[in-house]
Amino acid sequence: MKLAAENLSAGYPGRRRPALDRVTLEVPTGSFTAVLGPNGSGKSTLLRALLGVMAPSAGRATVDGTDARAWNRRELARLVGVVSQNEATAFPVTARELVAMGRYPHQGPLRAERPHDRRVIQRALKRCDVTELAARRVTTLSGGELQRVRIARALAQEPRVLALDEPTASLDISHKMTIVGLLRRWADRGMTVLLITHQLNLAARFADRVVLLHRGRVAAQGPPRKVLREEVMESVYRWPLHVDCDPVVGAPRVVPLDPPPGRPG
Amino acid sequence: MGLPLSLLGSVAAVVLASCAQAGTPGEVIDVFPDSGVTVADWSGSTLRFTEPPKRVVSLVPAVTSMLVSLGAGNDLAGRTDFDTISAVLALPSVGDGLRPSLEHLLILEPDLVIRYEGPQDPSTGPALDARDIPHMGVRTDRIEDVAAILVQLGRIMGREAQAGELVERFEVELEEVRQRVAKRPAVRAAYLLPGDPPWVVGSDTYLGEILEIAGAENVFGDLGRPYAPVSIEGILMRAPDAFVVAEGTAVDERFRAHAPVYQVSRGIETPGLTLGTSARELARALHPGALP
Amino acid sequence: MSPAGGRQWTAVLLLGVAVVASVLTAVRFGSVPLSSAQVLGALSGTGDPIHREIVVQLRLPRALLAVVVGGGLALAGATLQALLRNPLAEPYILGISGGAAAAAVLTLGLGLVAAGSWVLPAAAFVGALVAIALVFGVATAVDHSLDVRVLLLAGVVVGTFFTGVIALVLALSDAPAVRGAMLWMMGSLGGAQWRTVLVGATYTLPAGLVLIALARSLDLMAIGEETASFLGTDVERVKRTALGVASLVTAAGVGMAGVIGFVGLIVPHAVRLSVGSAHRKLLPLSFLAGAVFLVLADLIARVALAPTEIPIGVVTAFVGVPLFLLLLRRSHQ
Repeated sequence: MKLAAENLSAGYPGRRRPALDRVTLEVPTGSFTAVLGPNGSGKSTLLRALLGVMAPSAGRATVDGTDARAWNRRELARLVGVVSQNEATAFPVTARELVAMGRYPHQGPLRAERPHDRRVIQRALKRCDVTELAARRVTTLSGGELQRVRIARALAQEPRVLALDEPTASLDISHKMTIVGLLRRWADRGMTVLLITHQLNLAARFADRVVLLHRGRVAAQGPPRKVLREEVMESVYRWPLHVDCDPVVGAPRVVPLDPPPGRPG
Repeated sequence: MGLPLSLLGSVAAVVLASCAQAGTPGEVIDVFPDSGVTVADWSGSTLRFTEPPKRVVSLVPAVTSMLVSLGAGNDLAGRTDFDTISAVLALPSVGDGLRPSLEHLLILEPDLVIRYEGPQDPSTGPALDARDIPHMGVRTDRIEDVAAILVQLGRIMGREAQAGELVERFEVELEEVRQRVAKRPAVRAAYLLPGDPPWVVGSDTYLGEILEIAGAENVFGDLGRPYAPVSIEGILMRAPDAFVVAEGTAVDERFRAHAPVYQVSRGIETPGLTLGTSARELARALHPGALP
Repeated sequence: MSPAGGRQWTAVLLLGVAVVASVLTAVRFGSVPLSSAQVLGALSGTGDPIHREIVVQLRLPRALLAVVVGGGLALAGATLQALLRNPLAEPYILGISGGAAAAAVLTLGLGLVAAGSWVLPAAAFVGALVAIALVFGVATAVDHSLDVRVLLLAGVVVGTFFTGVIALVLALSDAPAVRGAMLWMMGSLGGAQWRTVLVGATYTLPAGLVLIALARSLDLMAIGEETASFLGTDVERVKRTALGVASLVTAAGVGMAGVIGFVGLIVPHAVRLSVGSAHRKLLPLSFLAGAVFLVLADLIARVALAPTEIPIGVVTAFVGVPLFLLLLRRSHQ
């Protein structure tokens, strides 16, 4: 299943500049696509508009060839799992309950949990290394633990597309590597993965394709080697950078440099 | 129009009479005096008694006292927590007079309930209606209401003579106070009720009437409403020479600086036969030496 | 049946039995002391007609109204807490109590209650509906997608407006009307009749079924509208349906029993502390727990100082607060 956008524009009321400005891109089936870009470049908006929870002001987004806004949300949720950034924990649900919510699109309003649901939930918990946390209330979890539980919930949807907005931001090295390694493996098995991240080197190393956003527009897209070039990255991020090839992993490596004299640090 | 005027007049009289079936509050409607008493209560409903009720529950303390004064104390089946006169304290209580316990009312099997008529108790009347318990709603907005209730009770309980005596004594008592202070210049007074800002007594109220009888001029007699909250400024603007309150009412210090505050026993705010005493007490305060 | 599911049904069963037991207790005891034999006689239709009247026409409808109103308020509270993602939300938060109270005070002030015992409840219900319409109107005008933060603010603002209306009406009416209005605003189940129970049940029971059918959507709404949408919820539809239904239940409750606080706020929390936050369990159990709580609170209100009845708000606060603190402490040990 692929995601695509054609001249997609979207904005928020009260803001003059559109958050997305005529974006055209493709997330091919079975690819691991990373979306990069500075703060406010439109990454999260892209996710919303691409999956139809936000109405575009122009252009269109499609999921599997069908307009994203035309999808029945429940049917879409059986195919696309999302880990977004905005989530409240006002009430103390357990980790198991939060992961079980990934089965809701399959269950509808009334159907009880079946053995298959339970197996999927168990497997999702195990894959994200949170089986021991199942009975804990999410209000007592650390940021990293909660993040892994939420990824497990997206997995419990048994999705064919997995979209994640900054899922590794609060994870330590081992959990970060585990999660991104899992994403890579799932992509290899045919799942379409869309990862929004600030971790340039992680994206360069694991993603097949990179989309670089700048002020709501696509500044560059393509394989990491083509996109993560010094002059492109410096102009988008407005900071002196050095890009070389990491000798250990064989992928592009972005190193931020000291500011040139006269620029505020 | 060839109809003679006298005929028109008699048509009008018939129409009026049929209207009166609905009842003017406080009216005693005697169609056939020998076969019972029909009265109109203050809600406009009519009640008919073929014989005096034997199990009366009065939710209004002033009416309870009237019944006792009429000598009908033995016909009372219960009382409320509001009642203070010792003659009825031994009777079972039905609780708050404005929100009586229906269970207690029912168990007393009353053949007449006398209740407050008005928005302070919107539910007792309908609840009694639903159970076919005769009830009479009374209001004591004016002094004449007190007399009218007494006359009605006298007829209902078959104690007309006693009622007549009591009414006369009541009216004589008030008249005596009025005569004693009539020669003296009226004191410009404001009657204050609790509240912030305080509520004042206005026109068409028994409290306003008592003020007048006791030789005062109600500075809010032209208010156009019985009671209303008035700002301190608005009260001081009228420059009263005296403030009158019931005992226990909190009075803003600023009033004291302006004019004397006279306290009257609390009984003045439960209108009934004791209004004569209240008028006397007030007159003594406002016009020292006028009454023995 | 999974162990969790099994526990849930056990809890429903236990609380269901508790509802029946509390209703029976409320019928057995009242401000007039009756013996068990007298109560049984009244229920079987044989006893003294006065006892029958007390038991069948006063106590039973009153206990059942407490079930409907208490259950309804707890249900509405749980729903609003999830939708607004605010643990402090209670059924009256969207200005409903203000609208109802203003209408009731207006009816009393204008002397319209004389027309019949149905006038005051009907006016309060209409007032609540007007308040809801105003709140939704204001919120939709500001933000078409019904932002819950805007909704909360609109609720507070509309509530404040109605407080002003109440103050104005009270200032312009006579002292007796003020007294009647004050008593009414404290809330009471004293107006219970079979007819009231029937009306209340027609609102509350279908509403309960609708909300329970939305339980999974409410689970998702409680963690965020965007996530709910990504997990297959039609957010706008769920929000409008659930808010509308919860408001309607609250409005019906206000009409029948005035403003009874505490139940809608605390009962859902108490249930969450015991069985967690999944609405499949939370909603039915909140209904049952709210019902038991209000039936018993009303019983205490009637019996404690009989024949004088204490306002039910006094009982819910004096009994409910220590009970809740106890539960809170136990859940944190």
